[in-house]
Amino acid sequence: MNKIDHPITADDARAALESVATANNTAMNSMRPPLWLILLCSAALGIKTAAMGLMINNALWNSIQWGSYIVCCLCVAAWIVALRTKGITIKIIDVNITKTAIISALLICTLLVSSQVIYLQTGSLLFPFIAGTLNTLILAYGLYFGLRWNAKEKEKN
Amino acid sequence: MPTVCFDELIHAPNRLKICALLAPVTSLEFVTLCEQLGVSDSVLSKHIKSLVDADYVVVNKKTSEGRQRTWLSLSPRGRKAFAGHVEALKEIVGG
Repeated sequence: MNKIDHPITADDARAALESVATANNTAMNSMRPPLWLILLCSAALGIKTAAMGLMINNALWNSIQWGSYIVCCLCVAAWIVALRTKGITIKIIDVNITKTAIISALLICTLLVSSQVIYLQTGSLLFPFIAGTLNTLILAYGLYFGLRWNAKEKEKN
Repeated sequence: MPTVCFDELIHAPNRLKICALLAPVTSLEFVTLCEQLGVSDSVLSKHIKSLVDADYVVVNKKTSEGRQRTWLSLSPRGRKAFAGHVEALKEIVGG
């Protein structure tokens, strides 16, 4: 139907691909959460990870753990609402299911669980804080660069 | 892997950008697309109409907070055609 026998030259095709890449970059930049939201969400996850370990027999850390969990959820909701206000809707699941995203999510979950397990086994206060810091860094990096990586990974597949 | 297929309808510069902007999202508001493309409402409407006629773009009008918002999204057919067109462009550059 719309096929043509003799399409365009290689230079025209290159220019068209550059235009696609530029438009894609614009879309990715407009979809990325604002920096303050990335920092808030990552810090909340880091605090939650540390609190997961330290909350054993400690009501204060238990409350902190739940508080940071709520902050994390509110950050995601704020991101989706902000995007909708900007005139963009996305499906989180569509955007994020790639190999790198799954590995990052598994790593975050492992650190969350091991923060508690290692604290219980060793009694060391250090590991929950290390796990919390690692989770903060992984999530901040993922939220900042994740959309672009996922787009590239999907393009390769 | 999408089917390689050069699509003349999508290849027009503004329509190519429209598809590239719609591809990573579920839907985009008409006004947002206008701003991102840097074109007037009438120009965008004309391009959208061609894409809608080809069943590449779906238009969804919703009323929110007392005003009507027009949301645009690529149809499954449109996504397939755009992916195939990008593959065709890559093939031309590679070949």
